[in-house]
Amino acid sequence: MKKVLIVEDESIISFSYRLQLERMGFEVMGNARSGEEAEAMIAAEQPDLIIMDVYLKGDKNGLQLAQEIHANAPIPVLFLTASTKPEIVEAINRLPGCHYLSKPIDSDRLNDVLQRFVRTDGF
Amino acid sequence: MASEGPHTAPVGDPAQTPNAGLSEQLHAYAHDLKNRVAGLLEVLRQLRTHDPAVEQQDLLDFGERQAFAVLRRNEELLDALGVPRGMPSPPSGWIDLDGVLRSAIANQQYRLDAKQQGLSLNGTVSANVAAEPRQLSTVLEALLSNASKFSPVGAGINVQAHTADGQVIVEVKDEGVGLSASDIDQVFVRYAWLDSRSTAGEPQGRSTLARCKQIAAALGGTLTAQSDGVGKGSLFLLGLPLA
Repeated sequence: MKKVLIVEDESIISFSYRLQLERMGFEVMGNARSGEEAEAMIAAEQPDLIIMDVYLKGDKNGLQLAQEIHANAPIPVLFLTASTKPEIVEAINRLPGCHYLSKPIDSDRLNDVLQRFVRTDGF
Repeated sequence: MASEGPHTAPVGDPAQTPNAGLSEQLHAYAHDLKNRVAGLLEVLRQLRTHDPAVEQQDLLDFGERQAFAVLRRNEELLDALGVPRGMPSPPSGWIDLDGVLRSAIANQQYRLDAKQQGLSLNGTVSANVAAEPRQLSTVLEALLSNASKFSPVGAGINVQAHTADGQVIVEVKDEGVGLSASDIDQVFVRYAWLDSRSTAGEPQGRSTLARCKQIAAALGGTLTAQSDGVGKGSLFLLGLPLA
């Protein structure tokens, strides 16, 4: 069973992701509310996939956090973000093993991306 | 006493400001946004009161309509102001359509299986096209997903490819709910509210096909939709320049 870490500060939103992930057979290992919380959780247990926003509570944004995580382990990150700024999208596309979906999240599209991740171990 | 010039225009008179056009656009936007948010707040209020006279499904449909109207209005404003958003990447090189198409079918097989839908693949798909593989896959998967979502259990979906006039044309044809004339006009508009409904209650994101059309254009191609009407299935045609 693949383990997923959700990084999202809105509990209603993270709960919705959790439900969908669990329905698809993922194990949600936790929900971090900030970049710092995410780092601590990853240090304790490495997930197979991270789902997070670009804008996070705390000192780091999601892109910085993904770069730091990738310095230690190439964990795929699926960014779910409302931002469509070209520089953000390009930065995500430059990160190896990362993908993004634009908010509001179409749960069907999220399902497709996660199905592909399960089938191919990537996006 | 105020001096002459555009900066001395009375507060509240946007027509006299240097950015009158922008100001008008933002006022119209804010007005529309407030109306839609008012609608959403009304939905929340009525949900809290549990009034038996109010059909919950009507309320949810109304709320969803308001939310998508806000999203559509956002896109319209950003378009009007020429604000750049995450655009599709230009083609990264020549890739074989066949491999991407088969991978897209494999990725959507779970959906077809769930609705016991059969997919037939015909024609010439072994063609090199200028594309970025992930984006091409996004478009092909969206067309397959769309065909499945808007077709009943057990229906057939036909994927066909042929070359013509320096292009490869991929056709995705379904036997589903079809498109009314007004739906065809709106099917590639971001967050438009269409009459057609998925057959098993699958979510309708309402922006994917618009995004796909944008990607097709970035690849130098086209994406169009045809239908003989409601209940008569749909045909989506993706045209891409050949190597």
